[in-house]
Amino acid sequence: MIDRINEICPEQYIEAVKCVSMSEDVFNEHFPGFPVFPGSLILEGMAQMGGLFIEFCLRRRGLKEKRAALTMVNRMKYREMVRPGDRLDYRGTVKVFYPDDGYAVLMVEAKCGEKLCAEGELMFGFLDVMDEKMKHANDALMELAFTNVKIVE
Amino acid sequence: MDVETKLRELLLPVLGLSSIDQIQPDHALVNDLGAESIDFVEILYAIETNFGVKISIQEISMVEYGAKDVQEGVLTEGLAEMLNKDFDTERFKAGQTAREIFETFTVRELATVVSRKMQEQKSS
Repeated sequence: MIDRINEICPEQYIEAVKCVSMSEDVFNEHFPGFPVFPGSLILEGMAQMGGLFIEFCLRRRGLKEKRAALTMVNRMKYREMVRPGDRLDYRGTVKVFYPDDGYAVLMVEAKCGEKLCAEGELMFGFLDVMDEKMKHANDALMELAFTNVKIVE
Repeated sequence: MDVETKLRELLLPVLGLSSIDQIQPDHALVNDLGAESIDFVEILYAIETNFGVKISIQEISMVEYGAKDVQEGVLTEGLAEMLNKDFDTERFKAGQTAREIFETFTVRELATVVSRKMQEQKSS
């Protein structure tokens, strides 16, 4: 649900992009003759971005077996409609990051140009990955997601 | 509102309950209320944002006490006595495992940890 991660500053923030296209299947139903990109998919995009970001930060701390699981969505507010052709800029900023206690909270926002479309707070708990296949799939996904990403130290 | 009552209110949405009467001070978070490990991160965060004190998972999973004085994985007489004094109870007994204690850790005991932390923060 995200097209590209643009920039990352470990344990501080992440920025990603989602381009909304009229050809997306969701517009067949949501809504016929009046296409609006669903808020649930904006949330999903920001949660995917947040999960990848948290796992990236955990890996840098040597915690390679941990996965970030979305445990709470707090005060999510949708402010503007998102229409086909819009480019959504997602940003997640760390509010708390506690690797020892097993959780992190991100403030997230989705903007279209200067227009704030959605904002809220996402909490992630850290779980141990038990399954070998899942570990490999996760390694591949992390490599793909963070190729050519600008890392700000 | 006292710490215990406010804590019971905070636990409602985390545990998926609707009435404060369903959470009594002597209920065990794990055994009576069904809290799972993933719920504890929400509980800790709710405490941090509402009471302004940071509690680590070690403090409520008894690891700190456990690290101090455990023989063959169970509580010693001295540690049980210390816990009883700290939490103003008589339920801790020598021979209990750290896991048993965590699973029977009550809402009142969690409120005690929060109150103590708040006092520590005030005095520092």
